Amino acid sequence: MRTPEFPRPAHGPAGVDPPAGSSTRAGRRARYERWLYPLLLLALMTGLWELGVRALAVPHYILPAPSEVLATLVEQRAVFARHTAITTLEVLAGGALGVAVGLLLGLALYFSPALEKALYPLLIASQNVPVFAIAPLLVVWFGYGLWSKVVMAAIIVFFPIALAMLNGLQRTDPDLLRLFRTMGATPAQMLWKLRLPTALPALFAGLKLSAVYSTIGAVIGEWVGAGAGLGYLMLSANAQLRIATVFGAILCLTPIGLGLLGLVTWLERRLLPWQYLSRDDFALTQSEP
Amino acid sequence: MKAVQAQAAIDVHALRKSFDGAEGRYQVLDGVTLSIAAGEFVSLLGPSGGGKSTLLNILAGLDEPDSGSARIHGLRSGGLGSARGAPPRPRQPIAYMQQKDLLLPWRTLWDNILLGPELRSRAERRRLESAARALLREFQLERFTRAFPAQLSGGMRQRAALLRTLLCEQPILLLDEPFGALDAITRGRLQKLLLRVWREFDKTVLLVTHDVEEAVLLSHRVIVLSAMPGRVLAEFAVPIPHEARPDAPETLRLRSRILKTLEGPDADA
Repeated sequence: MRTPEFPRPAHGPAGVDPPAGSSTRAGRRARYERWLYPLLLLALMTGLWELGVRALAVPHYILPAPSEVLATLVEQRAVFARHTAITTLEVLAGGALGVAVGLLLGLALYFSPALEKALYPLLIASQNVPVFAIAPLLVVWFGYGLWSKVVMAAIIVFFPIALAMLNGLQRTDPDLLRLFRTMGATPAQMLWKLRLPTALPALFAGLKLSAVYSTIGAVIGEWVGAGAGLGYLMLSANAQLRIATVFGAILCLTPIGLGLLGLVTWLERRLLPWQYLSRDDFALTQSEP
Repeated sequence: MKAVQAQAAIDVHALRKSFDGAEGRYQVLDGVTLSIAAGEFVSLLGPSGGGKSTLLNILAGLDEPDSGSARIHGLRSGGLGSARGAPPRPRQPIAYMQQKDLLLPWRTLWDNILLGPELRSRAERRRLESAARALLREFQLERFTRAFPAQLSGGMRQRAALLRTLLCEQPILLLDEPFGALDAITRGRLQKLLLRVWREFDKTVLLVTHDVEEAVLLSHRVIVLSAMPGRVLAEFAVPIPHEARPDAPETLRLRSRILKTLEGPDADA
């Protein structure tokens, strides 16, 4: 993490721990331990799975052992790579489209009270329609190719983004708006220098949700009608009881969502450093002249 | 330009303002008249909720009076509007500071204090950066330019807010209980800093406070406002040199006279 560069008091009070994630030894250790325990548990569960399947001689078309899944992944790596690339593209394009639409919609709802009154209840109501229900329609309208999945992902993603944007903008401090007004700020300056920075923390919460949702949307789209992608691969392998391939597809799917989530989190830390600081971290009061 | 009076910086005449409340309309300002010369330091003293802040809001152009006038350097103030996306308007020659520091949490101290000039233009910001650097030293903030407001103490934040107000480069400072939330020691330091700054930069200051001590220590003149509806009860000149004020017996006498004025009408009622 980037630490603000300003002098810290030479004699900090005893017992003040450095902020988590700092480059000190204690910070490195805390970060290391955050990964260590979940990974240990995962390894343990995988080991039990392997032993259980072997000991009980479970047929591979019911539950393959982890070693078999791994062997399938390596053996058919070209197939998995092709389908993973397609799904990744759908997730990224759908996510980007959904975020763009969500951002614009959130802004429009904020700046137009009439639009908010008319559209907001409809938006909430529309979220009660299961996305599975419209997936077949999207295949009819946008075809078996990339576009029906992109639209599917975008439809799931835009809602949390629009909501986060609207809620974030509504948090703008009225006293700050008045301050900007007395300083002669233009409406554009109030948007870029006050309203949008205020909305960013809420917006990032929405972005984290959409990183997960986008993957769900793409896979649902593929289940309903597709000729390629990890969702398609899962479905066709499942029908032929090639369960190791189904597990392989799931393993390929996981890093897409996790990677997006990691990217959003990294961006948040870079763009919103003030969110991760507090006065206690640096005990600056000690150096008040 | 014709010479009208002795060029008042702030000229308020028969100002009235009322608001809608739960029990109908209530009068906040009821015919307030006052005048402040350029370079003068005037305190506006009165009980909480006596319309002092409303008067400042009107002077800052954030609110419109029902009747009467509020002029700043002879120009009618107002017209800022309060609706979202209000149209751009002529800039008031005032800088406004409140009890809340109102620093932007996502900006470092350095970027916070330069907000005023930055909103005018990039060139303005560049022009004022060297002045800002010099003032940071005077405000004892030079070590914290890269800190975010959340990392600063209340006193530091308020000093930063005062510095930002100064760097707006306006001739008139409207200060709305700027030190009200600080502890006594920090408040004392900031009051001295404000006095120094006022002398150094030749500003006109209108300070709203409910602290008699503060008003007497800092200003040329103390204007006492009544409880709601706000009216000017009395004006007191403070003809004592600033350095002598903390210990002078005249200061004590003036303080108790002002307190009597503040309490007077309530005691009768």
